[in-house]
Amino acid sequence: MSPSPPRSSAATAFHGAPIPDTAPSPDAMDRWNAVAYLLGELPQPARACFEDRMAADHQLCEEFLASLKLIAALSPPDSHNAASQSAPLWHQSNPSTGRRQSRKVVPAFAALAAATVAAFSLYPPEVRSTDSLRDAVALSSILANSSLAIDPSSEINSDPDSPIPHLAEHLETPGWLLTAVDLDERHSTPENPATEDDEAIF
Amino acid sequence: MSLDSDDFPENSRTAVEAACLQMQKDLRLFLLGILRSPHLADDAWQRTVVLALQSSHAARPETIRGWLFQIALNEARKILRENRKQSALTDPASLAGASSYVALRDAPSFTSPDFHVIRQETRKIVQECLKSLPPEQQEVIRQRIYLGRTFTEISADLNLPLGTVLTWCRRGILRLKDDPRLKDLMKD
Repeated sequence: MSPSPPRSSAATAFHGAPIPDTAPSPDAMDRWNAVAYLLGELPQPARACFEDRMAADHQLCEEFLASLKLIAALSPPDSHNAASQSAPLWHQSNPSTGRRQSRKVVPAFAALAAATVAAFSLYPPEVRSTDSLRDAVALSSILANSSLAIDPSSEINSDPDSPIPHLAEHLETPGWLLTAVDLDERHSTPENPATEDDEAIF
Repeated sequence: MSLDSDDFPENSRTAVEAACLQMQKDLRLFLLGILRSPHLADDAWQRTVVLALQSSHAARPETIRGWLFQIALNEARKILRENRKQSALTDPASLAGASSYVALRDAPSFTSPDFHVIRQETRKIVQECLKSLPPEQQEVIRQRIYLGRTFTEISADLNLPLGTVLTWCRRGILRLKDDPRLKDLMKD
């Protein structure tokens, strides 16, 4: 095998292995290095070298951008496809990344679900229907009503007669009901005979 | 956007602002390519705009695109250096690793929503162009970029020398870049 011509540091730095091909022109090498940079194939010194070259050459920045668009267009269109088919780019070099993310996401969802169930269980039985669809509709309408939102940090009243203490604060008693109650009370008191009250009103 | 050379010095700040807006998509993508983190790219983008506006008197209409790219690159490199310093404080071993760099570790893949600016029709045309390559180049590009396998894995799988696999990939990518159907698309 004939000795290969000397190569730039960026060329030989790629995987530490010389490319068994006729030496490409510097232009082609830069164009390939842009791709190698994006694929994470360049070691740190070669990356720095490539960045230096980009800083001095605007055309190389454009080349880098074009390479980025090309690679993005060649990649799976969304992460769901990628996950179902294989590990996406870069995740291979750090397989624990996905597991770390799922370790954060799963407890967060569990906490959210627990908080939702706890909040939902505070509402009357008629709201807590066994029908899952109605549950979802009721829950969404309850959660959508910000005036009934329950502060999870607040203490829950254990009085069985008043399962939703905060709701009472938001209820307005109609005037006719107050009048009726008032009348009823006066009926029951011995010092106010009903006949007098009836005459006074009607 | 048209940058008129005559009144550029007077309206340089406005012109730089307009150029930032016009080139926002490309510059942000460029920053994302270097930093690999959407958060870092956002940070770098903000710094770039601030710096560009502050030094708008130095901008020239004929070179403003390259000028903005250089500012963006400098800011991205500053952020990378800051990150390396921080990671060296928390993990001194990270400085010793020649191939490790901070932003890449938790990098999103090209499948992340940040790259969804690539339009569906562009993807279609790229796929068509890919089919025009020799089968071995297609296969290596598919395995490396679409499936995300390493070159070492691909060469072991195909029972071929690593250099051969690298060459096929490099030739295929360069041919795609030279494809006239893609050249204009990549400029969009």
